[in-house]
Amino acid sequence: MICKTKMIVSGLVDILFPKRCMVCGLSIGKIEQYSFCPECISRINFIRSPLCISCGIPFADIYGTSHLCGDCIASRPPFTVARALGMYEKTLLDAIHLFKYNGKIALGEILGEMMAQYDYDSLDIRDCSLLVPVPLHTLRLKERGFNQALILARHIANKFSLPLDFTALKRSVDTKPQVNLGRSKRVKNIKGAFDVAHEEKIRGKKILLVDDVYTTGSTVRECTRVLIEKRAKKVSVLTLARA
Amino acid sequence: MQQPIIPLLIFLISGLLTGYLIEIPGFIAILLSLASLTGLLFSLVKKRKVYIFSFIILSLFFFGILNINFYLHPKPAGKNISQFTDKEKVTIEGVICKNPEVSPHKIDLVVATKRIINGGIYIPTDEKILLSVRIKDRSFKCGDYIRAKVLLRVPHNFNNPGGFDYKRYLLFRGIRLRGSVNNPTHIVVIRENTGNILKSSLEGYRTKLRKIILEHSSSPESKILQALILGEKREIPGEIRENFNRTGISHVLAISGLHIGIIAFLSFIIIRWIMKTSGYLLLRFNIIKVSALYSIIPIMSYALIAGYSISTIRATIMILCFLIAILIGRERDLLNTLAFAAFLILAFSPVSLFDVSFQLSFIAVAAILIITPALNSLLPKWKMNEISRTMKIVIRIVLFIFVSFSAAIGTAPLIAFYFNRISTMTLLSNLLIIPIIGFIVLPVGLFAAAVLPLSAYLAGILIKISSFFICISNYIIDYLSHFSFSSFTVTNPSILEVFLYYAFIFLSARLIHSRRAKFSIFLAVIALFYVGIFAYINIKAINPGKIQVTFIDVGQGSSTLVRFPGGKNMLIDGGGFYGESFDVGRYVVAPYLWHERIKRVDLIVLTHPHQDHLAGLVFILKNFAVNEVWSNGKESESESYKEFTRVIAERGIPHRIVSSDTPEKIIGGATVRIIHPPKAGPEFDTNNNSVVMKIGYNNIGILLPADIEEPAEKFLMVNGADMKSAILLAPHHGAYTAVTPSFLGMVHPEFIVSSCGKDNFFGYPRQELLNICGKMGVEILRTDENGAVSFTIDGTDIRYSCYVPRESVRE
Repeated sequence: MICKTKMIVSGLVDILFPKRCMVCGLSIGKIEQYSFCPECISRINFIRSPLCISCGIPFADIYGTSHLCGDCIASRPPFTVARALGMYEKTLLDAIHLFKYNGKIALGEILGEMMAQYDYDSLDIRDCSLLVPVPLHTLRLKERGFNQALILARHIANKFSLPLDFTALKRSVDTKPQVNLGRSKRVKNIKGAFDVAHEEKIRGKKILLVDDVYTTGSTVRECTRVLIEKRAKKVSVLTLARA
Repeated sequence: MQQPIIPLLIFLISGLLTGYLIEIPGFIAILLSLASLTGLLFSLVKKRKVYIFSFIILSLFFFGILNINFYLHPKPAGKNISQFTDKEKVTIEGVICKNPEVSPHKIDLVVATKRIINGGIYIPTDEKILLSVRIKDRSFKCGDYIRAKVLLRVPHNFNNPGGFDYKRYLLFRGIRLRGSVNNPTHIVVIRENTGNILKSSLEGYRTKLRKIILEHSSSPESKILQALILGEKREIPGEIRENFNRTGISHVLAISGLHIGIIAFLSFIIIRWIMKTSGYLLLRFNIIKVSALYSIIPIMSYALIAGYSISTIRATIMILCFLIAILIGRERDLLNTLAFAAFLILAFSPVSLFDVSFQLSFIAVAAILIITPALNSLLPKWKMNEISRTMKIVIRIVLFIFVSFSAAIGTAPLIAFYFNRISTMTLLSNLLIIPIIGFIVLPVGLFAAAVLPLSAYLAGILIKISSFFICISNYIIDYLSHFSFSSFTVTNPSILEVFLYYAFIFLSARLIHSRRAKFSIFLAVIALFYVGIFAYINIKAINPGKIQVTFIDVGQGSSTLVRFPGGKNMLIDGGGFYGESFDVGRYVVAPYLWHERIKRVDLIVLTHPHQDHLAGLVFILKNFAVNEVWSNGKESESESYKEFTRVIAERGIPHRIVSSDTPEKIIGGATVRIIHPPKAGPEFDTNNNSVVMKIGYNNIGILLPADIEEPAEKFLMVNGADMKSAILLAPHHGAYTAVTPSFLGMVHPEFIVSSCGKDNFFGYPRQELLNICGKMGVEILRTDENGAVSFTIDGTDIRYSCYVPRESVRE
């Protein structure tokens, strides 16, 4: 009965507010997953192996095997693994821009759902015991009105019934946006930006750190460093997109 | 399906229109609806999608027919009340069921009558009546139980092509009778607050608010504030309203989706701003949904304070639909949402479809949703995170101009159709005034309403602030409206033209958006089609080989339009009422002329300076291009006459005094001859001194003797004037002292037209005249029964048409 009512309600909602592609605005039928049109879905470059077993960067040679990439051999990242849903280009790039800069929170929720449903190479979200989004500085948060990483993380946490904590990790320094910086500048810029506010919440936890975009990895590396320092058991990283 | 509500809406609307145009017997409509509902049920069981959809739209279509028929053909009025109409004054008792509409000269009350008292007997009744109270210093509230002594009348229309259907307007509000009270002892409030508690406490609050507005602000600012906050716009002085019209900003004065939308927008921003003060709230909740949810409170409060009029409720429904879309978090298809709002409104209040404000609001929003994105696609694409703050502001302003432009484009044909005026200032004035009135005056005024229970002092200050800004905006509007090119009059577009216009706009928007070549072909076809229609209409206006004489229904009075072969025209008198504020020129004669696509009157003739011939001409002289005025030169002390001469002098229109010495004038092959009054001769009274004209075309005469009576008739006969005419306008509306049998014998008409008001006080045309006409075999046509009567002389053929068909008069 409840199921029937739900069906009728969702049918009505579909009539009143028909589904449209969240990215390009084209109307779509019921069958499409994730509220994206087939065209836009096909323009998402999902990340598959072979990839770097540590930072998760995909390799061009699709017949090869996964191994450590050059960067990770040079300086092994502090996190166990870092994985991403897709490449930061085309549809995902547009979607993240709409979500972050145009405030389309509803789109962020759908992206979070996509992240939760994807199968990642050697990362099982169920193994984690706590989800932590990469925090924004209070000033940035107040300017934007929401934390994009939190919205993604909340959907993953709901899907796997995992605890989520958005207060433990804090961004204590209002750093410059990483967007327009080079690799070495990024590392310097982010150094010491994070703090753990509630040590007891993360102690001994297997943490899944969630963010929107992995570019050089300097942000998540710094977060991981702080978390491990405060005795998190281990940290894995999951991002929506990867540059 | 892209926008599933749109086909549903289209079928509902076509049902409403069908039901409006064709009366379908109730039981057939019910039977058909039941049949389609059964079909729907079966197809639902069988789960056949195609059938489900077809039966849904079919059911909606029949539902539309039923729904509108219910309003158009209500169950017959209870015998109780109809037996008292149009006879003598009766005493009624009832409850004022809508907020009184206060205008400068009268208060209109909608009274739900409970009983009639006649000869000491109470007769229960249930009928809505429009009561116009013309008594100074009396006020009424919704919920008052009143007793009034009143002459009940069936509302009457001026039956002219293109005229306003007042009867239908009232019928759609559930009103079938009207009456007026002029004597202070004839109306008394027996009990107050008999409505429900919510309504009366709200009314109490509104009264307080009104008081504080009037205390802290003076007219006209206070009146505009009243319109914006309380929804009472009737008291706005005429010249202010005129300025708003001239600058195309009058939509600001009627609470619409714009106002509710601005309030929703501002509440959204403010709530978001409050939330942004707390990082925890931002992290814990979805800021957009929370802001949207809480914006509902101020919106609903505004709707309540603004007097829950139908147009306010409509605007609220529209905005709520948009907010729900945000709450559900779907990628919003705003056109579908708009269609849903329209669907809801039309399902519950089908008569809204015929409401000007409904049409304007929805067309405006639809135009914004369709045209603005097309215009936007012309701009380069910006990434919002990469542009500077000033650039963001510039983009906002450009967007605002696009929105105003789209709304103006979308509503232009309707504005031309209903108001016959297009403003050239509309973009500029919207750009200047909406920020002031929408984003300062309105929110500050509403804030005053919100703090009133806490501090009357603070509320007073806020009222002062907002009236200061109204003052500024009035100053701007006043400045903008005083250019001669600020606005221009337009004649009524035809339905086909309006349709083509919208098709053109829609396809252009699609073309710009998608840049597909096939749309340009469509556009070219439409443009060609339009040129064809335009040419046809203009050739028709030249009226080759035909002369057309129309006796306009102006109630008790007279106004005649002559359209000569070749396109020239002449207006003889303009109707008018004694001692009434109703402007026949503005509301009856001008709309008829505009409907006939006349903007220029080549010749205006004032036969004699009596109110019922003169008053309506003033508006025509002010608002039409007039080449020449003729009159007999007799003056009058009346206000209308002073205004008449003032406007003629001001606009520099040649004014010619005519008499029977005036040489015959030939216009387009027709002769116009003045046969009365003589230049020098016996002294006549005003009526008998009227200008009498005879128009001749192909040896067929049309005699227009205005208000002459027996003395002038005799004078003309004695002097052997050539009066033989096929068409005769009954002298003095067919009065007792006019149209002597010998005069009739002399004119020997085939048709007599009596221009008179329904059930007029004087009893025109007199029965005796009707009898004589019957005996002589002369056909008599009356503007009170037949509406506008129009004769066309084509060659030697005389044809006539009446606005109200003769068959329907006979019943």
